Amino acid sequence: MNSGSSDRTPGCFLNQNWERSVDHISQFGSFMSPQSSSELERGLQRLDHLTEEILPQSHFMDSSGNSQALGGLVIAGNRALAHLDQFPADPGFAARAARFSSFDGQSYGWFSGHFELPGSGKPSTAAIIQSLTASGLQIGHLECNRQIPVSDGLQSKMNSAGPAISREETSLSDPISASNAKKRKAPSRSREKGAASPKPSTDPPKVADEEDSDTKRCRSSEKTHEIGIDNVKPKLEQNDGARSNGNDEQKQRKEGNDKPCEPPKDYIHVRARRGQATDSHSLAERVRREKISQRMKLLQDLVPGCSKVTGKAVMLDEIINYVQSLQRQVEFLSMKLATVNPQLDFDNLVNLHAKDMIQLCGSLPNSAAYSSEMSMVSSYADVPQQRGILHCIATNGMDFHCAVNMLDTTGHQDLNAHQASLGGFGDPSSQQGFFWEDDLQNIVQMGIGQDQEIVASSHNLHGGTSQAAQMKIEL
Amino acid sequence: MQVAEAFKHAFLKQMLLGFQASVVSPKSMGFQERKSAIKLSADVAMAVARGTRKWTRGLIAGLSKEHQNRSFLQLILGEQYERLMKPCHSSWKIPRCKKIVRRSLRVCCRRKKKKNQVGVLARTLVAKRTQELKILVPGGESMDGFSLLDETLDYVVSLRAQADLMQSLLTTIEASKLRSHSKGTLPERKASYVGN
Repeated sequence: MNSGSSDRTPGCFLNQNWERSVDHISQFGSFMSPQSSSELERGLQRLDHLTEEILPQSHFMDSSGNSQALGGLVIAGNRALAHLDQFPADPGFAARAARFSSFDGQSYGWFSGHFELPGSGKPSTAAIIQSLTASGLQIGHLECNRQIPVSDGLQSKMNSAGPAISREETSLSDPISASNAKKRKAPSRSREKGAASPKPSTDPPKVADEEDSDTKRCRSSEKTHEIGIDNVKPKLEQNDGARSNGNDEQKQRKEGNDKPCEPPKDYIHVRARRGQATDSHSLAERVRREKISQRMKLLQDLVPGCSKVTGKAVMLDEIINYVQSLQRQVEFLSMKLATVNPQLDFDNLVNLHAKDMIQLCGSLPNSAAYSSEMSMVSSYADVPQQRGILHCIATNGMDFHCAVNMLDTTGHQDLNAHQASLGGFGDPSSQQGFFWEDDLQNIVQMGIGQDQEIVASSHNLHGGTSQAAQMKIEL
Repeated sequence: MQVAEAFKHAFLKQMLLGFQASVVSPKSMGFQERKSAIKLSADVAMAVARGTRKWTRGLIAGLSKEHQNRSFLQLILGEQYERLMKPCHSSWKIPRCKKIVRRSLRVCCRRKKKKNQVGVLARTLVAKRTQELKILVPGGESMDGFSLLDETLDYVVSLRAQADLMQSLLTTIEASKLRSHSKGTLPERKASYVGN
């Protein structure tokens, strides 16, 4: 790769450091087992520093020898590109970034066909985004990094490492953690602006803000993968301090009561406001009332057409109506399903599941992402890819599933050997088995399984290639 | 939308499993039976996917009161069924809270004697509606005001997800039916896809 003369000296420096880092990363073996995440962090941090200093990434390609190193490079490139997005547009930057991310090993043959290099050396952020999302796709496919999942349609939204993290954000279900993340957005904005000011970029506050808030949200949910950005690291401690829901609730309430943050305890500290009674009963009563009003506010957002209504009684009325209508809707839908059902047989259920994944994904905010991925994958019609995509979509949800599913299953009924061999995901569905249809089981396990399960299920899947082919066509 | 994708996935899987487990087939069941079986598996799927909440326990407890559902529930839940059937102990807290609340209400009433009528009217309205809500939300009778609202929030989110999922399931079934009709007439296209 021929780089500018001005780049040569730092380039050589980069090359040397790069080889070291690459060796370090390539030691990880089969990529991204959780144990190696800490090593990866260190390696990535080093890479981050390296790439922050120096713009050209041509040396990425020079030194990458194997696909494992490439995986590390791709991830590092993601982060690097995230930083470099704030950099001044480099004429060859987009081209190099594109080439870098499209430089793929044997396993990513499908990807290069999809990717297009920008013809002129224009520093289009679209190319950067494309490369980012493409490498994000690769990473998702590697299943190495839960936090840089597959996402394609976020080009309009993000032009930084956002694609990886904003998907985390949309799948966050807890309203409290979401509101907490919103709270943290405000103080971070000023910090990110300060960091981004020396480097002109297309829209620094928006990008930086979104990236920052998204990285923080990412951190609040996942602790294992921590890519160190210097200006975001201090916030990490903040997030760790306010981890549990109870803590967050108390903190919010306390801030509503004009009180500074207090250490997490079982009982609630409340300070009486000026001009109000200080005896314990009214304080407790006030706390209770504020809790209730907070819940009412949340319900107000949830129930449609309740934003203008004030007062408990009317709100409750609306809530009751809404719950009744939802219950009636469920009844009606189950009736419709009963009429449709005669045509339903197990084969259809198998195909159905794959399509439903798409539909479910389609109903989410970043629906365009998944549907476009699905079409992309189906156009290549490669079974391993499908498995990978389905798995990617499922695993990102699985992280939250661990948190959401609080049914503590103490044991798993090993109903058949295949299930037993799979990593024992603490899931009620692992206890099923009486009426498992083999193909459905494979696909479901595919969806909810963890990394190693994909390998195990591949045998069964190859056995049922006709089903898979049908799935392909349905897609 | 506050629903996690994981919840939707788990929900869907559980529901499909439930359909299979209850062997919903046109041959053995009449329409009403099919409908109630589908609804049952949908509800159980929702409860299982959500995890342990007061309303999920109440829902499963309510469903298991019907004797015919018990075998199905035992199948789906496995060993959790026994654990869930144990009585919920959280209701012990309520008497203590009520005492404090009553005492503070008395204190507040002493201060605000003038606004008595308005307060009483509002309070009765709220109480009536709270009672209605307790009937609607499964397991709601044993909850106090705040936790009732909390559970209602959760329940509403899950109900909405349930309705959406069932709707999408319906549309995909209908779409696949249409496709299966057209697939029979175009076998050569299928061969070309497989060849890829």
